[in-house]
Amino acid sequence: MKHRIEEINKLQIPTWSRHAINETTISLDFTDLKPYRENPLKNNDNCIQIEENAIKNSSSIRMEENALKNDADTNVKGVREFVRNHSNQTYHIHINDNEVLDEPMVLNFIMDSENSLLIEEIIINAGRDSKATIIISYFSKEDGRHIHCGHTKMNLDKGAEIDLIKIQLLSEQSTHLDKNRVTVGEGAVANMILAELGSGNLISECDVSLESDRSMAKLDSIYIGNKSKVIDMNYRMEYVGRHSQGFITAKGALMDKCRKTFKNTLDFVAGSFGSKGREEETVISLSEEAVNISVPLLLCGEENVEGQHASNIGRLSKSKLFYLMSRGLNEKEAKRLMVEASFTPIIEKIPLEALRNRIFHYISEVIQHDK
Amino acid sequence: MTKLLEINNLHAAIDGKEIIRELNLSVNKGEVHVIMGPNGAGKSTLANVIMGYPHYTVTKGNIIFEEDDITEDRTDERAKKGIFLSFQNSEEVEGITVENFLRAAKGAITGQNISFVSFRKELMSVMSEIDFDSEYAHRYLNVGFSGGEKKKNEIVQMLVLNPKLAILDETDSGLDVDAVRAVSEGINRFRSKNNAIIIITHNTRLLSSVEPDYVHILADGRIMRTGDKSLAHEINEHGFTSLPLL
Repeated sequence: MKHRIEEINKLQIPTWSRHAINETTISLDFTDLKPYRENPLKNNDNCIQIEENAIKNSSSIRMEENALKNDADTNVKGVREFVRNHSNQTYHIHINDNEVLDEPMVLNFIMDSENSLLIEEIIINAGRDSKATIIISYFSKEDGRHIHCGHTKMNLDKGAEIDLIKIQLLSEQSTHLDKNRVTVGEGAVANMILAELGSGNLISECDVSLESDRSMAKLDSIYIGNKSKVIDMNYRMEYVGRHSQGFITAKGALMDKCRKTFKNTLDFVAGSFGSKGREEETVISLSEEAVNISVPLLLCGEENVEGQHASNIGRLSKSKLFYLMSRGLNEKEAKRLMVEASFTPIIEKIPLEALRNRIFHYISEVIQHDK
Repeated sequence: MTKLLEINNLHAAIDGKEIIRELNLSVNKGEVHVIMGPNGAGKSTLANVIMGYPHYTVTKGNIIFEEDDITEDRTDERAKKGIFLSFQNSEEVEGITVENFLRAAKGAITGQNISFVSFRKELMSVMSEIDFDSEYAHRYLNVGFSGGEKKKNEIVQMLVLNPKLAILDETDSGLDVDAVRAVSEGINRFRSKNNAIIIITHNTRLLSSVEPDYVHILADGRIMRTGDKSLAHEINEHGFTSLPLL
């Protein structure tokens, strides 16, 4: 029951292979893991109150449970292919035309020793002029080896406005692979938050296509690297429609001996006249041994477009640390404050206070154990 | 008088270059000391060394605070013992509001959980007293603040944290008349027989409303002369170069 997935997080335009950033490969061992059986729609978390009435009758979340096909070793290319072949749960979220959902839809996956292997596919279809917030969280209830491998596909029809928030707080022994594919229709708006905070081995991918005129997407991401964690992230914004706008903002903190590779691509294809995009990454490095690799890519096949790139990668300045410590905060408290300060503008966008508190608590715990 | 701070034969250097030399200073509770001096004299360095900025190395001498040798203490330990530095150039920290930062600082210094409601009440009262718009409590720490607003924010922090020794580094520089008055009121409100203040300044504007007990002239890393308020006026009229011993 060992599976090898190749060609993950492929860089659109490869660079020198000696940099080892063009793509990544992972081997997953399902031995001793138990397929996820809980219902993430149920109110099974003391922390997060799920409004079960959030979904109106006309819109729906439909869940299919599949037999996990894990009886043979496999070797596939890409997370999507792997999930298609092995998913044990599939969710179809359908929001009807003109439907406006006041309460967020919540899928809350809680992993433990009895639910330690989750391979899920989530398909979201947002109808014309619909509006909704969808929150998907992955949380380890206890220490232990958990594997999550997911593929989320979201389509926004004309004029739809969807906030998709994914929060990952899995245990440090866990592996998390998450691929997101988003297509945004004419005048539609996709606001996404990917809070990739947990797990010791993290692979995150988000591919957004601004398919039609005046389509818009904002992708905000926060991540933390600690201990010997390996992070590989690949975010891409493709501008197809005219006057489309897409923005990627990533904020990270690196500690201990972690290794992070962050690839972010803005791709203005021919015909994306008048489109605007920006990619911005801010990293706080709290360790001299942490490895930080950033690969920004700006591709332009259309003349009249505006693309910007900014990277702020640095250590917590001595003067800022001195200022904070002069007010009685010790070095770890000051670092926690700095990381929280960097992440807060993104965390504040999460509508559930309990989830925000869970994230702040997680950050506090990680920094407390920073060496 | 109870002795609060005693600096003995202090030498401090940065990158091997000695900035403070043979400096001695004694501050008792209830006293206000003013340190004046020309540019590059070492005034801000002295403030940073007392607060424990690791950028500077104390090569000789010691700093005693309430009979405790703090020369090797970390900055946060000094803050917890009751030393406060109002920065000449305070740092901007995006993402954390003034209120949240100060509540965290007060919790760290007192070692207690600070009640949200009572703290807010205290903060609003302090801000009002020095004529600082309470809206700034909800803004990110010093981000987008003017020079005067940053200085007022430092005074607010001093009043809320209520240290035993406050060192004010160029708190009056760059302030308009109204802001100087507001800052002076904050200093006078803070001043008591249980604490002490060291004011580092270029000019005497602040001294028209804050009465000092001692005025020291710092030049070339040493205290060259000590006197009363009249010394500050002498400098105001004739400049530093006119003084003997300089």
